[in-house]
Amino acid sequence: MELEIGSFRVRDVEFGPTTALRAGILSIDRRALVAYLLEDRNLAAANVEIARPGDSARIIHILDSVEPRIKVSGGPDFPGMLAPPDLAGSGRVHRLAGVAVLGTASIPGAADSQGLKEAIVDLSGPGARYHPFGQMANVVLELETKPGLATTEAIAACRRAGLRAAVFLAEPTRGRTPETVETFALGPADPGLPRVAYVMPAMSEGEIHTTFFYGRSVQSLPAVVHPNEILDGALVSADYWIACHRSPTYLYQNEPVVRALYGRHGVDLNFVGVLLCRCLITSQDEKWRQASQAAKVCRMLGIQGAVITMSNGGHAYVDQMLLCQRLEQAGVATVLGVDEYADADGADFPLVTHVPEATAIVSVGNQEEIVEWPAVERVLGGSEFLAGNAYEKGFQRRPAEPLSVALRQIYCSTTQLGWSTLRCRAY
Amino acid sequence: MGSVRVAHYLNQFFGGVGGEEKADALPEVRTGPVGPGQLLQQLLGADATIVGTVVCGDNRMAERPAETLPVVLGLLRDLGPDLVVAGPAFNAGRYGLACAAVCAAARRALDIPAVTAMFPENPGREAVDRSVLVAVAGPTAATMKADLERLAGLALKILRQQPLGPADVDGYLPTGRRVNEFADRTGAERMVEMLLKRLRGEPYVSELVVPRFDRIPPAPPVPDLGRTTLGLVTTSGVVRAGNPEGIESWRATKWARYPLAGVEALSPEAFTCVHGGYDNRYIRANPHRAVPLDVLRRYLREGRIGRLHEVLYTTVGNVMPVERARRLGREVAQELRDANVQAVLFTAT
Amino acid sequence: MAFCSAIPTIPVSAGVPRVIHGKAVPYLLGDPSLPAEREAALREALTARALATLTMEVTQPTVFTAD
Repeated sequence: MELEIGSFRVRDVEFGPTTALRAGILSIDRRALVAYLLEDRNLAAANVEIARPGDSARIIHILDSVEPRIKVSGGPDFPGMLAPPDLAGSGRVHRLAGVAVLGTASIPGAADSQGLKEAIVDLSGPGARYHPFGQMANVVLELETKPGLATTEAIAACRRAGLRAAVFLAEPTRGRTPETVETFALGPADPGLPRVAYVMPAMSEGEIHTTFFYGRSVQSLPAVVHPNEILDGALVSADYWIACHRSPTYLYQNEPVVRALYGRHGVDLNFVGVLLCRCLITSQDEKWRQASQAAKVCRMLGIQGAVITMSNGGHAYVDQMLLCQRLEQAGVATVLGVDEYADADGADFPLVTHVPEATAIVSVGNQEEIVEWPAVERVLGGSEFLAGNAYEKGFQRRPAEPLSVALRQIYCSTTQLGWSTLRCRAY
Repeated sequence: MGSVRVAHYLNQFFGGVGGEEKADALPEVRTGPVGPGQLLQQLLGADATIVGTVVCGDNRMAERPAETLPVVLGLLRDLGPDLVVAGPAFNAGRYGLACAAVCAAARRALDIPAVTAMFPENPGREAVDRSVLVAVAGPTAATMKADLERLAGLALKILRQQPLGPADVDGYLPTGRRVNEFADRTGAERMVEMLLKRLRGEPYVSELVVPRFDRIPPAPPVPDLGRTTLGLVTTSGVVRAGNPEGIESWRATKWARYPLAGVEALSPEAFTCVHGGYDNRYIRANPHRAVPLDVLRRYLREGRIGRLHEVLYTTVGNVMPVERARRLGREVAQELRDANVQAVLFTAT
Repeated sequence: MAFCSAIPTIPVSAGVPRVIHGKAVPYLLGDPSLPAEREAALREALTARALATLTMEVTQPTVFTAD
């Protein structure tokens, strides 16, 4: 499988009479994009805003983020979501580098324990470095769903809108030559190099919070996946739960561990592939089943080492730790990426659970640190924080006011995929 | 800062009293620095003076702490110190335990800072109080000089009330405090690099060290349930309708205590569930799915349980800080013991 | 103490000696997919097992199941 990702660097985004890309400036025909999104009758209204790096702006009610991309050969865009589930990962895809589509909405009635959680980014000030979008132009969709829809349908409409907007914005690159092309292929590697797998438990809890693999919720029986599929839209996030450790679609398209392993393939290691499985499995039996199966697959593939990430939290850490335990017992050296619950002062025991085999852990930071960020001039996505987060005292303020919340509420601040340089240091 | 007064604690060997045959040596005090204290004094420089050294046998302290520790404490107190330094104890277990005990006592009774040094695997490490800093030392006195440098550096920072750097930079055993910072590489890059080190057999440092399991001594079995008083505790978040006690859905701070006398069952009208960490609708529809009062009432009638302690303890276990959980657990355990409850059914999610 | 949990890995990692493996996170001692009578029998089996562990000698964290 060979995938070419052709990048078009975008320096700025503005509204204009047509949707076009000229000399690094993406112009968006706002009316056309809104009309396109509203073809979905489940959306009652859609507004598009632009937020640039350095803007005194705060975006709230974030659902998912997507990089504008268009598949120019070798398969459809977002198979299983916008098209039949043909295989992703080969052919050529064009991307707008430096742009992200952020879908936002507040869906009435979605604030109970299975509803939406707040997710915030700041585009200037100290908060700008705690999420992936501080250095890029953000095309913010402010969405309203038709009243009376079931929560699942309403969220699905918002999710589709984000994906469709991403393809819409990349359309001007069709037929053009990218500035740079990266080629991704798992070519032959020296058999003396260690065989490495990326074990990727993606969250799936129920109908509302899940991760889609070709349009179907990820399963606990591990799937052997080519890393190109991850990079090419096979995984779409439907996690609207705790902001700090969501794994958004944008980060799957630009998956940091996949890219890091690819960079070493044939040099220091033999990147054999990805084992896609599940975290937040609700039954212990199924957690054990998944771990044994993953260990078995590793043995069958001759895997000697594995990076194990995760997404979300709570008993998702158990899924990760059990995968670690079974793999280690099967002779696979593991490294885990984990975020921490060390309380606001950093003094609490940071792990929800652990196994003695987890001897190699990379920290992506303490999500309970309280941050204090200044007021902003502009708020996108909504005018009040989401109701379902009443316990977070900082949410009693208006969103434009100085923000004092736990990192927990900041979008992707402690995502365990490891896009960020944030970590905890022991004192 | 004028020269501050430092009191040093050493065992019989480093104090020059003798070897293993003198391990029962009684506590004594000497003026000024002794043995390794002399190099320590040089490293501390003019800002701190080791005014005296208390020497005590390791066995004396290990076998008779109740009588020995107060004597040691008294000798330290008489030196009028601003700081107590103990060891380095390297990997000597009894010495490490003695240093931990002396430092803890100095903190509490003299209300002054105390610092010690030992090898990370010294058994005495478990006994060190959280407020006592432990400089990292090698397993034997072969690394005495480097270990004293580390110890002196920490002692001076404490005396000057300077903030400490990270544990791996300033050379002390992590106190358990985690501080966010931005590293020079992404988490993904560090994961791959750590994996490569493991695969090559190179040394690596985990950014999070998993502790040994907490040792909870199992309670002895009850001989006869039919003659046992059973308590009922839950962290599932089952509360009275309307949640009158205001138990939080997340990071709960307290228990609700519901009298169960006369309560035959937990009806979905009278009880609900406020746990915010899972889909609680099934529990709301039938609270017995989390608190099996229906089964227990029947077993009581049938004599299979002797008595039910007629109070339900309930809270929400969602993201509760571990320290708070310990405190709340001890609270309820004490109440249950005071009420002569002999066994507990605990339900969690 | 008999500790009922749907995710035994967690109390085991905390050192709890008697851990009873419940049904699932959202319904520890039940199963909404079962008819009422069978669900009641499941709850009884799990509760009875939990109570039984109180009478057993246990030396280290042990996970018990209802069957």
